[in-house]
Amino acid sequence: MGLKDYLYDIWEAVATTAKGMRITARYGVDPRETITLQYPEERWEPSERFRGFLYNDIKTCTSCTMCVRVCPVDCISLESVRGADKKMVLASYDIDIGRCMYCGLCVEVCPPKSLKHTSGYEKASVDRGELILHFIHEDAGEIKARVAKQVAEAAAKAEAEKAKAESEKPEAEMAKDGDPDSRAAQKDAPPPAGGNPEGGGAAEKKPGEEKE
Amino acid sequence: MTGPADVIFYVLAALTVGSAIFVATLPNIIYAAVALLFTFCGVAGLYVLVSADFLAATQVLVYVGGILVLIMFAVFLSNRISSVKLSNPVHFRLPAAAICLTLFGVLAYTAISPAFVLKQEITYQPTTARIGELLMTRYLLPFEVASVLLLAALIGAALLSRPDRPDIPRPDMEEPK
Amino acid sequence: MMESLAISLVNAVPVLSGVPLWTITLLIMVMVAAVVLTFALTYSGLATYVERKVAGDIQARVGPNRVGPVGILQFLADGIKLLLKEDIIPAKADRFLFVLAPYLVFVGSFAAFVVVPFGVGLIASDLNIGIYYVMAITSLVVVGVMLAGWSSNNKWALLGGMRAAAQIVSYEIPVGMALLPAVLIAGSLSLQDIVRSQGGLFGIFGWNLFHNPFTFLSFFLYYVAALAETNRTPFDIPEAESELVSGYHVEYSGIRFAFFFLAEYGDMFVVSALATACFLGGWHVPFLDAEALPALWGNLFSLGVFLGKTLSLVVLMMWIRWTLPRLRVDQLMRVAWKYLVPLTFFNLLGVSLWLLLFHGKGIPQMIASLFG
Repeated sequence: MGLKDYLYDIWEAVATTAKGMRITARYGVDPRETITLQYPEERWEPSERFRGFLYNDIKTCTSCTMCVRVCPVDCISLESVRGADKKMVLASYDIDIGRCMYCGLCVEVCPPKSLKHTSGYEKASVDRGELILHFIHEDAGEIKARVAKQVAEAAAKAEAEKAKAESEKPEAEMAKDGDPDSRAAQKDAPPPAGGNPEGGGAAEKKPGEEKE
Repeated sequence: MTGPADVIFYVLAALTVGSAIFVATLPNIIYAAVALLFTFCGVAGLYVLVSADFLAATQVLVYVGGILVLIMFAVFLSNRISSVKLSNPVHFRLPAAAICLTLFGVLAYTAISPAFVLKQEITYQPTTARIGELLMTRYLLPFEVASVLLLAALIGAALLSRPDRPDIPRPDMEEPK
Repeated sequence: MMESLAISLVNAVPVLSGVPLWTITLLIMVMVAAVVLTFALTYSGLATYVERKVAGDIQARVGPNRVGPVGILQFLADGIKLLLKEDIIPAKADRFLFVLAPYLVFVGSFAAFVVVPFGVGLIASDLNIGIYYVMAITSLVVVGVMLAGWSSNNKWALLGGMRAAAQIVSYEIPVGMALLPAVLIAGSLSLQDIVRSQGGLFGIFGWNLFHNPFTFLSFFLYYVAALAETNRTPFDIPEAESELVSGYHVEYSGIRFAFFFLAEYGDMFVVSALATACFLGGWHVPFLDAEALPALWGNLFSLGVFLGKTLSLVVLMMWIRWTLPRLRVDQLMRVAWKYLVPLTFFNLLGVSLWLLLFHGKGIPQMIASLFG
């Protein structure tokens, strides 16, 4: 290594160091370069097609179990019974959000489009059980019992009507799917939409809002 | 004359001699090295007590910062540090005792012989400039000889660390261009 | 200095006349030491906060901002955390040396604060071997680091300790050689004398930095070498976290780790203070002589000036740390032995020749003498 190379090495070291330090100084001094988001106080807007927590609108859900079958990680569990009107009545609909990998397959297959991704992404808990989203808050057994009762009542009524019809008109068949009263009762049976659209986010959001 | 200075002297002397005994007797060589550290510091303290400030700092710099670190390097790089038996062997007790006793006799004789003139008044003065002057004038030749010796040792170390066989490529320390 | 203080104290307060003088002297020494140590620890704590803030700014982040206003109390939180943490000593570690090592490092690092000339009269002890004392006492750090590495009984700690020792020993030579020009110009090893030699009417041109081209170069050489001696990036080979986890203090936790941590920041301050005192005129500022002011104001003013200069150098170190990547081991040794050592020797020779040829006059002085 000649003297020229030696001096050039020193020059190079000085010049490159100066260049690097100029860049970092620019970042250090210019506040506009700061890209940190102060998370609990500020948050980013999830994009339109963001796959957040799942939300099932149980009023439109038909209990077809497509979502349960398609789910690759088996995080959706569904229980349903046949109601008095021959339609399926949801007894329970749970999504284990801790297991969900947000692949979106269930949303795609859902025939009545009742299952949707929300923009919620904030859920922290100390217990894994809290990560299961319950969309029906009523106890499954109670619903089943009530539906069974309604079915029985409807059947009894049908029986009574049949008997009545038979007595009046033996050929007449059971035309109606239970009377309107029992249908109304069915509709009221499931409580209003289980799980809020934001998942558990709403509860966590509060302290931040209070700070602001 | 008893005062704080005397107390400090005895404390420092006890530290120096005590840790020196540990250096000689401890079977674990690392512990011996640490005891040596305290010996050096004690000696440096004694130098400070006689207001030889430059010498004290040199003692710490050269012995603690140089010699001790070198000893520790040697110990760390040897592969049987942990084996206690190998590290501080006791051999040649009789000749060693004879040499030590002779040395002790000579030193003790020198210490109690009236060759030393006790100065009554002690003036504390910076010694650095005086030492520098003496090294550059009166003791120039010993100083230069010592530096030539050290230079020779340095070149020797550099030579030893190079592989002597030409077929072994030298470890390339250069930047790949 | 302490003794004269003690005498003046006894004269001022007659009640103390019965007490032996040396006890008062000792008491004053302990008090001064306590003040200096308190300053050093507070500085170290705040420096960790500033370091994190600087790092945040440079990396387009915010840095600590939760504890207290703009996060200024972060260092207290960290300190309390470190104090309360479990003090773990590994089962296979050498207990005695493992416990001893942090103290050696801490003592070696903070004992250097004794000779730092904070102001006109603010120096714990104006030793006449000031610079030499700093060089000597910091060698305790090397021993402490090596012992820490060995006693942890961990391969990374051992490697880190040996690298640290090799690095500090290597870089001590350029550090010493780069400081010598200032010593040559002042004709004294005392840091206070060196600072005084840079006063005068030339403003910043009285500083050793502008004395002649060689001292100008010498400052930068010193700064680079000193940066390496404090084991900081880009010379942080001993604790290279990506290859050695964190080097010699891998196994340390709690308060013992805090000792190593504080020692690193203490080292940074000492190194910057030496650079300030030797090349940047210490507590001198242009057109205002702190020594001519009344004692209290002179001391306060000079303290502010000195701390301002020193802390800017500390911040510069942080800036460098968050800019440059780490050197390789062989590159590190190459920088020391092939570049810094020859250049510092060349500089020393240059300064000596300059002083001999121009009778100790610097360029500003010669220009001034041209105009009468």
